[in-house]
Amino acid sequence: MRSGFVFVCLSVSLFAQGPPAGLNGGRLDRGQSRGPVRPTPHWPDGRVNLGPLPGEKGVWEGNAGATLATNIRGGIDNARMNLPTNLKINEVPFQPWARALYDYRQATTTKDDPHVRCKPSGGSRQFHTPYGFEFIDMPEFQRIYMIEVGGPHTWREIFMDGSQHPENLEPSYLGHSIGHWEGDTLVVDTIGFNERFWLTREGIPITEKLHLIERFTRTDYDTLRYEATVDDPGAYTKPWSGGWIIRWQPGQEMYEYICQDNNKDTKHMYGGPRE
Amino acid sequence: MRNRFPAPLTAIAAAAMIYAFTAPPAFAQAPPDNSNLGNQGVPQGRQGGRGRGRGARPPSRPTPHWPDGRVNLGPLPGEKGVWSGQAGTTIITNRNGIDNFGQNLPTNLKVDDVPFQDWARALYLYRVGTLTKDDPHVRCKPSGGARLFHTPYGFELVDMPELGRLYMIEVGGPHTWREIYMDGREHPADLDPSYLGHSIGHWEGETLVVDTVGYNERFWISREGPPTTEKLHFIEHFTRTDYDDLRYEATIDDPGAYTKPWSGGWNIRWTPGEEMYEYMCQENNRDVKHMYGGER
Repeated sequence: MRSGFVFVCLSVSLFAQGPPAGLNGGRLDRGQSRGPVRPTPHWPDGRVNLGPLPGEKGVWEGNAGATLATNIRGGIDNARMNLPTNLKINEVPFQPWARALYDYRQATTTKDDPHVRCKPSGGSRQFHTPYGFEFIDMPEFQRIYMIEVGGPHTWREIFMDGSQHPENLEPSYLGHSIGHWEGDTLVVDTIGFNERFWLTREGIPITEKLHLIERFTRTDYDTLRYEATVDDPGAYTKPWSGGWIIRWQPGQEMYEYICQDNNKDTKHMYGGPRE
Repeated sequence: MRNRFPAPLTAIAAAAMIYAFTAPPAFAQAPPDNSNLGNQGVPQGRQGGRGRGRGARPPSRPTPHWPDGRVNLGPLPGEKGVWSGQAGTTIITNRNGIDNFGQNLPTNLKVDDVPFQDWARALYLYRVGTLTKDDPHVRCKPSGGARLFHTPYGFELVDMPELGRLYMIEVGGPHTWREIYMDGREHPADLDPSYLGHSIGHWEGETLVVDTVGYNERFWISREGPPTTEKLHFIEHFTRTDYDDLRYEATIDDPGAYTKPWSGGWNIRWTPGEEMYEYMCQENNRDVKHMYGGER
C-alpha cells in the first residue's frame, strides 16, 4: 500500500505543473512513430548545430524520470533514459550528512523541491524538466544561452570567449559558466553556485564548493547525451558523474509557461495533508 | 504516515538541513529603495547597468550593422554592453511623481489626452494614486509588453536569423525571455491568453517592428499601469538610432480599454561594458513593504 501511495504522489509531483490545455508538453502521441534517425547536424563552419536545421522546428525535452544516480528501489526514478554508467545510489560518494539529506528528500517524496516553488533550475535540474529547452548559440557574441519553458521560464548564460571564472563570485542559482567545444561535445564548467536549489530533481545535495562540469553531445539528430560531473568536497568524498539521454521533439516550439502562475499541486508543494 | 523515519535519522536529516540552509542568502535583503520605482534593488557591487556617472558621454558611434546589412542590436564583436531600461520612463507623460520624462519620447501623450474608456481611466488613476502598490511585476510575474523595457539591470535582443527568431532576454523581473517569430508566419487563431502574448516581427528598414496579440489581463503593460484587456493588439517599433540609443515606441490598440489606438515610448540607453547577470525576483524582493502595500 505504501508503494502505491508513493507512486501516486510522485506521479503528481513530477508533473506538478501540467502543460497548458492543448499542449502535450512536446511528447509524441502514443503510437506516433519516429522516422529513421538523421545524423548530427552541423553549421557551415563545422560547429555542431544544437537546434533544428534551418526551416525545421523542434526542441529538446527532458524526461522527468531521469536521475543523476540510479535509484530504482526509491521509486523516484525512470532508469530507461539514464546513462548506463550511472552510479547506483549506494555507490555515490556521499558524505554522511549529504546521504542523510538525500534520503530525507526521497522519503518525503521531494516535497521541499525549490523548483516547484518557481526557483531557478540550477545545474542539471533544467535538463530533466519537461516542456522543452533550447540552446541559443551565438558565436558572434561568444555566448550560448540555454532557455527553458518549464520552471520559471528562465535563461542561463554560458561564456564561450575563453574567459576564466571571476574570483569572489557571489553564490547564485545558476553559477558562473564558461564553455568550450571538445570536438563535437560542448563542455561547460560552472562554479559560484548557492545552496538554495537542488542539483537534480531527486534532490542531490550540493554546497557552495560545487564545481560542476557538464558535457552535451548531440550523438544524432534526435539524441543529446548529457553527462555531469559533481565535484563538491563539501558534500562528497570524491567527484562523481551521472547523466541521461535527452530526446529531440520534432515539430515542437517553445511556449509560454509561467511557474509563478501555474502551480497545480499546492498541497504537495506545501506538504499539507493529502486525501 | 509522512514521518516514516526513526527519530535518530530524522535528527541527522534535520541537522543536515540546518547546515544546508543556514548559508547566508546570496543577495541578502537590502534596505528598501527610497524611490517607489526601483522596487527590486540592485545586488551589492552592481550598478544595475545604469549609467550612474553623471559626466558627459563621448559622442556616440553610428548604428552598427551585420555584414548582411541587418542592424546589430547588440555589442560589436569583441565588445560588451547591454540595454538598460530607465525605471522612470512612462508610456504616458504624467508629472505626478511616478515619472521621469527625461527619457520619454517628446510625442508622448499627457494623461488627459489618452483615449481611455471611463473604467480604464479610473483604474489607471487608482494604480497611480496608490503608488503602483499592486504592480504584478514586483510579485515576479512576467514583464509583458512594454514592461520589460523600462525595467532596470539590462536586457538583450538576441537575433537568430538562421532560426527565423529573435529573443528578448532580461535580467530584471523574473529573469525571463520572450520569443519573436521572424519567419513570416501569422498569429494563430485561438491563442490561449498569456503574459507575453504571441509576437511576430519584421524589419522596416532599420526598425524592428513587432506585432503581438494573445495577451492575458494579469499584467500591467507598463510600470505606471495603463490597463489592457485580452483584446489588446500591441505594435512595437525598435530603432537603434546610434550605437548608444534605442528608440522604443509602442502602439496600444485595445478596443476593450480605449476609444482609439494611441502610442507612447521612450529612449533606452546602451550601457557599455556591462554584461547580463543573475537576478532572481523570486529571491530578491527588496521592498516587501511596498510589494504588499504595507505601511512604510
